[in-house]
Amino acid sequence: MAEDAEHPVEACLDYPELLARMENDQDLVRDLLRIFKDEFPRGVQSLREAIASGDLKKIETTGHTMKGMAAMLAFGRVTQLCKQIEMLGRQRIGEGLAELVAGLEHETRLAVAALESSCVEPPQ
Amino acid sequence: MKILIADDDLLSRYPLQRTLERAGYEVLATGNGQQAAEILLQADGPRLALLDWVMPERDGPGVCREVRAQSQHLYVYLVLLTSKESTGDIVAGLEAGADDFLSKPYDPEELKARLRSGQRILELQDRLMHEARHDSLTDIPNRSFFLERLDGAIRHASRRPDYKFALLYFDIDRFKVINDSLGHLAGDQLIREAANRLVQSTRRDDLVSAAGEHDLPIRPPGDDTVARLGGDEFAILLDDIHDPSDAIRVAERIQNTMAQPFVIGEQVVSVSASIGIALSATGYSAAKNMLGDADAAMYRAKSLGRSRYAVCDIAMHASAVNRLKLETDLQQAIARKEFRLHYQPVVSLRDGRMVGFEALARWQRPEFGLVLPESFIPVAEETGLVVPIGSWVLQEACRQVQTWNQQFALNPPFTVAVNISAKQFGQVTWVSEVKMSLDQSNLDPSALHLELTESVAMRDPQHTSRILRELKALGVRSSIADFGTGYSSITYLRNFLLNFLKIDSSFVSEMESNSKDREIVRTIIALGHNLGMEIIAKSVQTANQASLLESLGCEYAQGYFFSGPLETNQVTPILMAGKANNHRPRLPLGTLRQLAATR
Repeated sequence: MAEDAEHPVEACLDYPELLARMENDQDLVRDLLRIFKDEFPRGVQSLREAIASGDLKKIETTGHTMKGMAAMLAFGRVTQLCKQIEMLGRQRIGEGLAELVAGLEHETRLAVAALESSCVEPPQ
Repeated sequence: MKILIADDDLLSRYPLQRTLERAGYEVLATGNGQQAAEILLQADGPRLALLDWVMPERDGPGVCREVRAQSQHLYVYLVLLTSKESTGDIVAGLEAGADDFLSKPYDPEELKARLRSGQRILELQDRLMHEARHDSLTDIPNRSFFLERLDGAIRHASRRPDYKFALLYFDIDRFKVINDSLGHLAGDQLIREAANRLVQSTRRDDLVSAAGEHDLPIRPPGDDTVARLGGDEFAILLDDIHDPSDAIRVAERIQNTMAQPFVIGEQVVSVSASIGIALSATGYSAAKNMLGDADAAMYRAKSLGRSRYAVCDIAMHASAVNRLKLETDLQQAIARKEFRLHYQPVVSLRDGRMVGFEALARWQRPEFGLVLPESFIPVAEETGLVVPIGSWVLQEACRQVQTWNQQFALNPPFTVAVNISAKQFGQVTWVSEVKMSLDQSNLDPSALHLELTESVAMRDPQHTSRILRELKALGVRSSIADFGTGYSSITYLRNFLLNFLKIDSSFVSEMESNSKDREIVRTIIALGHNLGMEIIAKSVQTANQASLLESLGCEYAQGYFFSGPLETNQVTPILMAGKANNHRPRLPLGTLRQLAATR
């Protein structure tokens, strides 16, 4: 993945921190990434539905859960965006949510790509 | 160690489980709060738990509250996992019963350190709990823990009629002697070894081989509880027995084990044990009652001779209940004025004329009718109630007989004999009480005869001598009753200031047919006369006995031949008849014999 001046890789993923928390278990990190790739898009879908129906309470809880998932994988930017979404939901502010979710999707793609390149499967 | 992870977020739960398994924990995992609470409240559920704050069905604080509500359950150390960090949330979590917090994403080292801290607290709690429920010398359950177990068994038995259990109350015979002679350290060692043998004796898995054809069921050890109640007293709860004989078999086994010599330091000590057994079939509702019955049975075993066991059965239980009711009723009987006096005439054998009475106590007990002294005096003696009862008897006898003396202008006055119990005789105020009864009634002191049994008189001969001197100073007369049945020393008898000697009924009833008894009566009469006493024969039933006694020189007699004990209103007509003849009544009277026959 290419360097991006606006979104540096460090802010996107703190791989050393993640590896330390997983006690250097790269297999575990890969398992978690698989779970994340499965679960996280459902969260994004859920956010979109909540925006469409104006369910700001759901924005808050879904944002909270997604924030936990992103933090678990040390996805710094994604965590930040989820936190902003959760806050808007908590304050019952609908404005700007759609933009944030679009940004979240983008950042998630970057973070996942960064992690995939960091924990390459060992050669068989 | 078992640990529960409750988190619905797989991304969080999965690495947590890996970390903990790597650290050696046995991990149980769930994504549901309700399920988490159920797992934690199982009998052998995990004692450590990591609970996510937000979960379906029940959140983390909700699980904390549910677990804490079950105060009987072993303590579970609860850690809330949260990304919430505001003070308000922390307060809410702590109030719900959480012990600690861990924020997500967690640091594995911090996680493990927090769990170690939790384990230290659990260990400390377990140790305190163990110490509170176990005896420090033997490390077996103590009294309060035992009572808890016993209460549990009683509750279980009340729900399940087919469930039976037994309680054995165990006590080392003469433990105090061993403790005093060998020292407390040796005593402690004996207690420890005895506890050890008791625990071994109640293990039923190895009992089976010993029991032979009466096999007890094989069962996991630990269902039975051996506890030290204090000192040298132990209790054993035999759980889920088939038959009372199971308990007896265990008691016998314990006694066999205890009969093996104990090696204490360099001494070899032989001990025996007494065991009381109470059975759940009696239908107890409280642990302390059952323990009390087993204790009573143990004392009964001891009184039968050491190294025995006794079963507190339903009949024994009923008799204990009756005895308790008797005590309670007796306590109230004085205030309720339920005591009566009956008067049995005493006659002079020379002329057959009445000289006085023996006052005999009766208890008009509600629901039971007229109760004779032998049914309540022993209990009154034991409880000390004999003192107030005796005071009443003394006052009432003096008052009534003096009333008759005045009413019929009798001179010399009728005498009245009153029986004195050991407890009364031991009272320091007793002589002044006698004086007060005389003063209040105006009875001539010489008309009052106080009767002591041989055993009361010989209990403390010096005290007896002193009291008899004081009574003589008052002018009161004394007699020794039931002579010949106890152990009197002739020396003391000579020194006691006694006026009368009363021959026991057993000699009188046999004297017609048995020449030996006749000789005993003759000897007693001669002895009494030589010591300056007059003789009164009791329980004279026939004219032949009366004339035989008279021929042997006996001065006075009482008994059914003359008259049985009479109620107050039965005495008056006899005295009136005597007065009409200007003489004391001569007995037996036809009317009296009729009266006596109605007793």
